[in-house]
Amino acid sequence: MISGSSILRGDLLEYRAQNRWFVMVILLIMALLIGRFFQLQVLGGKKYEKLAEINQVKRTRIPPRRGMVIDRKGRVLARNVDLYQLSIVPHYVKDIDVTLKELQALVGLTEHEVSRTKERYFSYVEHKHKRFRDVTVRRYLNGRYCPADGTRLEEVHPTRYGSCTKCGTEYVELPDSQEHCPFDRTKLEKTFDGQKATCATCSRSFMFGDHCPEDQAPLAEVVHNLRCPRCQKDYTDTVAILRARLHEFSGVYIREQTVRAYPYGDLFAHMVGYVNEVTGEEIRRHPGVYRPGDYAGRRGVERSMEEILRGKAGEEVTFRDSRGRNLSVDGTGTLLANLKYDAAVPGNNVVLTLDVEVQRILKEAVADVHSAGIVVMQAQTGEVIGLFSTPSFDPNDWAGRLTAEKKKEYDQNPFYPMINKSTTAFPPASTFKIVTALAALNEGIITEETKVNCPGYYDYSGHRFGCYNKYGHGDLDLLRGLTVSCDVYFYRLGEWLGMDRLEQYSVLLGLGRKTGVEIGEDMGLVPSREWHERTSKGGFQPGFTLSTAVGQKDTRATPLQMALVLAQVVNGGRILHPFLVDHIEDQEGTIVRSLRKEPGEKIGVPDEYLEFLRGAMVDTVQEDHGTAHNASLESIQVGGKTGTAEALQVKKGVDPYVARWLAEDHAWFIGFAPAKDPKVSVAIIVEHGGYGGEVAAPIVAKVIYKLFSRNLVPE
Amino acid sequence: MQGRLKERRTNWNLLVIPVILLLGIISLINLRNADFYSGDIYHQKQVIWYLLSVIVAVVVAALDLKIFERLAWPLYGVVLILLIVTAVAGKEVNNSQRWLIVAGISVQASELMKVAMILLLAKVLRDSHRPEYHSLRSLWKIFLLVLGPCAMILTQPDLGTTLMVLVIATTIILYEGVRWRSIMVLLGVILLIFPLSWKFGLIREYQKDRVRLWMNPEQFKWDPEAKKLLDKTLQPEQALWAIGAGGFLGKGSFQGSKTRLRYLPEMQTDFILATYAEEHGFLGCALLGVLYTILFLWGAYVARTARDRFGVLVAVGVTAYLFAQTAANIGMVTGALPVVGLTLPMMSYGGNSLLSCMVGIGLLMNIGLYRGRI
Repeated sequence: MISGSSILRGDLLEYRAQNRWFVMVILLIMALLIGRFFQLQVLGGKKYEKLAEINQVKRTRIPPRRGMVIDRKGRVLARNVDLYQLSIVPHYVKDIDVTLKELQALVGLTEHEVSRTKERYFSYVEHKHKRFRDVTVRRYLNGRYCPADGTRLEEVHPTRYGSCTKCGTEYVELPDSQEHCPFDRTKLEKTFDGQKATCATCSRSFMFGDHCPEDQAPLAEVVHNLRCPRCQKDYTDTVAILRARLHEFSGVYIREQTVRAYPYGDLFAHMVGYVNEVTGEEIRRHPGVYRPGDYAGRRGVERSMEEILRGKAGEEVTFRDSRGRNLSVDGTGTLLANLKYDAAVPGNNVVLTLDVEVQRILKEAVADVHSAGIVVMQAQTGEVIGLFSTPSFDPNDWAGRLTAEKKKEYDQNPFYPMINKSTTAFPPASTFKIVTALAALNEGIITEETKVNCPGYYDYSGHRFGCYNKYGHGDLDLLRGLTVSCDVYFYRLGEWLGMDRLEQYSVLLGLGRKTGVEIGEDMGLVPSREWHERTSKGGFQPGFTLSTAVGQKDTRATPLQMALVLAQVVNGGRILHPFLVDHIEDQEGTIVRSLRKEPGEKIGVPDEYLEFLRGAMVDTVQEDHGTAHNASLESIQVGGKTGTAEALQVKKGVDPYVARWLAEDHAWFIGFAPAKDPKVSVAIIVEHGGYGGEVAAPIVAKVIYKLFSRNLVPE
Repeated sequence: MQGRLKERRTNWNLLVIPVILLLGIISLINLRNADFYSGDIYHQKQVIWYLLSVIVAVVVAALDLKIFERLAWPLYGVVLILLIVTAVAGKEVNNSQRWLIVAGISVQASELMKVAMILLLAKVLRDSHRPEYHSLRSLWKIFLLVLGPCAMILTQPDLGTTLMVLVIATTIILYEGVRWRSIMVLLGVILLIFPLSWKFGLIREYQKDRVRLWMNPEQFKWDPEAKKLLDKTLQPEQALWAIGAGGFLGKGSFQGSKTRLRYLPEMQTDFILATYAEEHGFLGCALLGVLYTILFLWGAYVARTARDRFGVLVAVGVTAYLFAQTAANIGMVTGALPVVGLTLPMMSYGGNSLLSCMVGIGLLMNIGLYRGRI
């Protein structure tokens, strides 16, 4: 028994080494853990002793200031404005009548504002919780920024105004004899009874008596010393006035909030976009970035450059003891504050290649049509210097404060103001013919002399394809085919080229995919044999090639893409990568990073073909028989190509004038100038505008004329 | 011969009993204090659990070790079935299906698996003992026996217990002896498995979050989802503050910060140490650490002096179990390791956990005394 046991014990000696390891690991790790307690409880003592008093930890987030969006000449297109709101908290107000009277004297409250505040005050003051709520007295107090457009106000010589105590309208007192506005010398428009006059330029009102001409209420005198350089209205820094006296009041507060303002309103709507509150989905998708109530970019550059613009939130942690006192203020406060204070990092500014003046020209040029998209591109570099879509929208309406009425107004507009027509895909129609022509020349299928007879139609595999000129164009060469835009000529080319090569050249020139510009855009569509097999009923039909060759049927291209195609054809075949963000700069204006996209390789087409096409497009404009003769200018040689896309749409239940509008074709024009050394490429679509040559071409001519006469085209 | 017998009668193993009793008393007092902050009555329930488990431990210590050897396979089978039943009909708490309600008592099969696994491995390794060290080939059956239950526990999901079972098994196998080459191969496989299971969803998103949080606590600060996921940020950080607030001497019983401790999730179970550390400071924690160390060293001593191979391996397994879980829990509470849901042996509230511990300690005592009896 005992000997057996000793054998066993000897046998178990082999575990000795393992056992030693085991003991060592236990000792080491337990020592480390006790050491960890030592570190936390003894070494970290000072810090934690203070923390031990802490009962409440309050984390305050410091929101970052969003970067600005700036145009190429430094004008601010999107900025942050501090808005001030005058509020009272009913519970703390001692005497509502006296308070409101004094406020009225200070900031000129109207009777409406006073009565509304009183009403709310009396309904809240007795309530258990509501009496601690803010009651807004005035929504926007004037600070240093224009409440209308967010421009920083300039100091000017004080001007005296009479402010109606009832309606709040402000008038400038004028002697009876004065006929002109004292500010800008515009002749005044007097009302019928001669009591009141308005200036058409600065929109100021004038009156000639001492009572408000509208409601005969007495006037109170106000003096304004700030003027908005943009809208020319006068203001007073009421925030400053109020702040100086605020301590005399009880329960009166000035609440601050930062809002995004777009001083140019609808001019840059689709490019700059707007911001509004983040969704729960976004908060989840970007952990640690957003919090509920934050704003994020929607549409345009605000959205695509969100990461650059938004900056990084900071954090301040304040500690409170059991009685709610802030511990950060006493002696050890600095220690604690240093432990937990991260400053917010403001977002960087985004500088665009766009130009306010160009935008104004574009807006003016399309003012007379219902719906259009227009793009101006520098033909050598690919930078977009102007892009406008009409009707447009005012991003200030959408920046987080869209009211129900505004929403309804936008929703009911039959011309879709929220859609950017410049990057929406339409059938390119005859503007596509330059792609077909280029393909045919480069593939050696035709020469410039190849003649085709146009009898007004073209029969192909049992179908009759008509030319828009049903009497026929007779014998045509390529030049003539392009300038008169003969469909039959290009049906012929399409047949010879075949679907695959049409697709190949479309893709080569950048159709059917995103151009990569920094705003939302359609891809467009380049139908291929394979695409037709997949989506068309009955698969691919040879006749599709013919329609595709003249840009009808399924081909889709955005005005931006067509401007790109044109630019690449006329700049000697250099592939461009359109962009509208030039660079990013920090808050001091130092360039952080350039985002210009350099032009790429050449497309590999002999110069003589490109030269020929350019010449043909110049003839289209310059020659009397050219379809775009309406675009010719005396001062500068323009080239281009028209297009008219069949677009008859029938919609039920719309106004008759909308129905008539929908019945028209889309009018296209793509144009470039100057003819010899093209600097700009412009593309426009006038949605349901009619004939390209009649409607679209003159608009582009107007734009090109103004661009060059005002020297707005960058080298 | 006479002297030898005399030596065996003075059994040093009995000296550890005061240590165990002290741990139990500290545990109950601390639980009472924790209840003071939260307003619960856990400590009263735990007293009953303690009485029950001490009886069980004494029974386990008194029985013949051979019985456990014979019971190893049936016990393993029963616990495995319990695991399966739990997966099918278990109760879901906090997104994890770990509990099985049997006659009004919640049973955590994964907790029992720790003990069952120790007994089984000891038996299997004893039976397949070879004069030379094990290689991967000779171990593959054992791997299956370990990894099967592990996979089931992992899918509950309970990462902490899975890791514990793995650590226990690994320690026993290494103690038995494995060739260096095999160890290296195994290590390579594990290093490969972790990134793969991270990538292909074997590790749940919340578990990943805990690891991420451990590596980068700042990132989660403003994520409202994170708030929902058991206030991940607050839990370890508040625990840290509670520990730190204890200082050298501690603030004394009932002097902790009520608001902080009350909002500390799992304050009676996984994070019980936070309350203790705030009240009793570094001295208290060091005392606790020393008591635990004595307990583990005793376990190693039992393993060294055990009379037969089965006893050696069971002692090693139990010690590894108690030690690894203690170290993991303290590491987690002090922020040195990511949060995995593991209780602190002897200290945390919970019947299953306590029972498993006490059965383990009973086994150690059994092995220790068994040596003396012969």
